[in-house]
Amino acid sequence: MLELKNLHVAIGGNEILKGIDLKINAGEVHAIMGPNGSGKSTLASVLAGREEYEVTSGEVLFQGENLLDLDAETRAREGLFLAFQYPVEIPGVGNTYFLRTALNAIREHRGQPPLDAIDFLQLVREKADIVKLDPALLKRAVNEGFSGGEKKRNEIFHMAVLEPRLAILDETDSGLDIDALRIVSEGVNSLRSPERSFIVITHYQRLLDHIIPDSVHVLKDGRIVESGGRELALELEARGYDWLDSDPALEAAR
Amino acid sequence: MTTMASTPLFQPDLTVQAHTSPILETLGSEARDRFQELGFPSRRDEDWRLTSLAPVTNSAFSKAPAATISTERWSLPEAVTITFVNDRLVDKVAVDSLPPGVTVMPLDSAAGTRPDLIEKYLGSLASIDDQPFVALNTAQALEGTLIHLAPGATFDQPINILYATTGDDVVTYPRTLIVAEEGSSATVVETFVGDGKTLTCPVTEIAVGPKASLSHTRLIELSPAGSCVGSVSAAVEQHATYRLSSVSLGGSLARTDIRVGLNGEYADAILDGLTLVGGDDQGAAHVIVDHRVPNCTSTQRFRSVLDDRSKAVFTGRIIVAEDAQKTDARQSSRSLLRSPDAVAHNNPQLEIYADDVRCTHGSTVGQLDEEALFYLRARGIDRLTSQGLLTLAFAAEVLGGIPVETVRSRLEDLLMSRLGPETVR
Ligand SMILES: Nc1ncnc2c1ncn2[C@@H]1O[C@H](COP(=O)(O)OP(=O)(O)OP(=O)(O)O)[C@@H](O)[C@H]1O
Ligand SMILES: [Mg+2]
Repeated sequence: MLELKNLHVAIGGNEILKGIDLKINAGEVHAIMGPNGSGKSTLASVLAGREEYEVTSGEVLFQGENLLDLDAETRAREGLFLAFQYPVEIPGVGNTYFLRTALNAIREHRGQPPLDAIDFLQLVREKADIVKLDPALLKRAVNEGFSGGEKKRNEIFHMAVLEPRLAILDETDSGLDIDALRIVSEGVNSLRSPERSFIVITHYQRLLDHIIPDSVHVLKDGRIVESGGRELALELEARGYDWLDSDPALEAAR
Repeated sequence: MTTMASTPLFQPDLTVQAHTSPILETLGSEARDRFQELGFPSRRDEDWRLTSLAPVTNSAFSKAPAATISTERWSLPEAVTITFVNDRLVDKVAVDSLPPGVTVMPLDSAAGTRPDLIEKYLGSLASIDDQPFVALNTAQALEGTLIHLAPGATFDQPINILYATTGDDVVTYPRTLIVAEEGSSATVVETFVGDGKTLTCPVTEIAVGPKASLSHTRLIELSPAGSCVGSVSAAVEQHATYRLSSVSLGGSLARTDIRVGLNGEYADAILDGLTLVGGDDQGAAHVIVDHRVPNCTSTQRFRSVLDDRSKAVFTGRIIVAEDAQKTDARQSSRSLLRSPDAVAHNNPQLEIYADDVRCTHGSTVGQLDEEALFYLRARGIDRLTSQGLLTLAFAAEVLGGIPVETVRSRLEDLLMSRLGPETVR
């Protein structure tokens, strides 16, 4: 599904990702954890196609294609989805109207006819129900005045409607209350399928009690310094990140 | 001699007009004298400092001859419509399509049938003292429309006034007078269409009587070479509401001067404006809201969207007289620069002589929000459509205030096609 080979990324001449290798097969869920500022959102943004970041070397294959050659909208149409750590408020653009425009752009790319208003509303109702999204939020402008938790829930709602092949969830759990965490996790789990993969970025192993990952990676100072099964998350919860060294030379010596 | 002082190529025809009514005759000759004294404004005049009048003065415009143009695009199925092409009445409102107390007629017939109204109002709201283009308009034939709403008269259908100017190097001088008597209400859509290298110099005067409510949508739709320099003057009495949506969609120069006097307590004015400019065009809105008595409210929301090397100017003056206590006046002006070479000037001007008032103003000039743009694209919407959506969202507040559904949705479509994916810039 996705393969990163020695990915280096810089912004303003500052190297942030320093050689990432990662392979995610169809149907897998990978969790990425790591201290603040280690580069998790940068990785998510680069995969989604944010142009400020400069890929200085390495490559990314998505469904066998060179992902870095595609612009953000084409990546989305090919099935990549990013749930933003900080979803953007867009006054004046209705949530439903926006989502319909996005869905029909994706459908057109797949050679499917656009959904008419009635079918679309039906779909929206069904999906909003999965994440228990307050229907009032459908009528409002995208994220405008939404609470922190409502924004996160709206992201998962968008994901449910757009049905991506690869979804990257950047700290979707932060800011959610306990019930919301469970509902959102159930939403994600209901979308798990052999054809769909997830990258789940989180600071809390609690989320991984709900969304059981196939592997857990630790990103520290722009490198993946440890990978393991879901028990790695428990260990991190207990011991923090200090015991993991980010310097590859030291690590080799360990 | 500098170029500024050189003789303009446009020498307006100021021959004495043969009016049927002595009232119009007097008005006309005073205005003619006044325009001759004032001449065209120059950039030394504070009010015109930021406007280049070159599109007006650098062409030898002459009075537009009789012509035809298809006006289907501006027809409103839900409205009664009066149409002028090149200052000539081509389509009038059938009397039997109007409810009792509502009059929509050409000004020249009005001078015969309602001399009382003409005498009382025409030329009394739009000042020729300091507005050369008002003087110029008033010195002409005074072709245009009278709308009169008798006390208590209400009209649910919009009244659609269409002034089209067609040809090259031709000028028209449309004139509208709207008198809404006590407790009356109506919705008026006034559209100025310019087809070709045209100049339109319209004047609209509006009297909103006590407890009356008037909604006014004013549209300027010009060819790229067209210009429109016009004004709206409104007097709003106690407990009355005047609501204006002023939209201008390009042309070499589109300038509207808006003057609203709040003359009776609890009068309310809501003024919205949207200016779209591209190429080397100029758009301008110069607003004066005059709070003359206590307890009045006013809201100004002006937006401009600029492409290429265009320029947009907003000047919004709020005057609060010494005894106009409890005034609540708000103003916001925002410009969206879609090109690094475009320039927007937003100038709030407050003249407050009372102490117990609430006046707020805010003004911003900025680009499209990059974060929002990326968010839309990351969901699969292409860049141009995303830009169009965000631009439409920027204009949405103003468009949302337009009461006539047909007008609102036509403008939304027009904006989307001008600013969205169909545009190749
Ligand atoms: N646009 C930018 N300009 C400058 N520096 C940036 C930019 N984006 C990210 N960085 C820097 O890159 C580093 C990694 O940031 P990133 O947001 O990827 O961290 P993160 O792992 O997601 O952190 P958190 O857990 O706090 O969300 C930080 O030091 C950040 O300041
Ligand atoms: Mg982050």
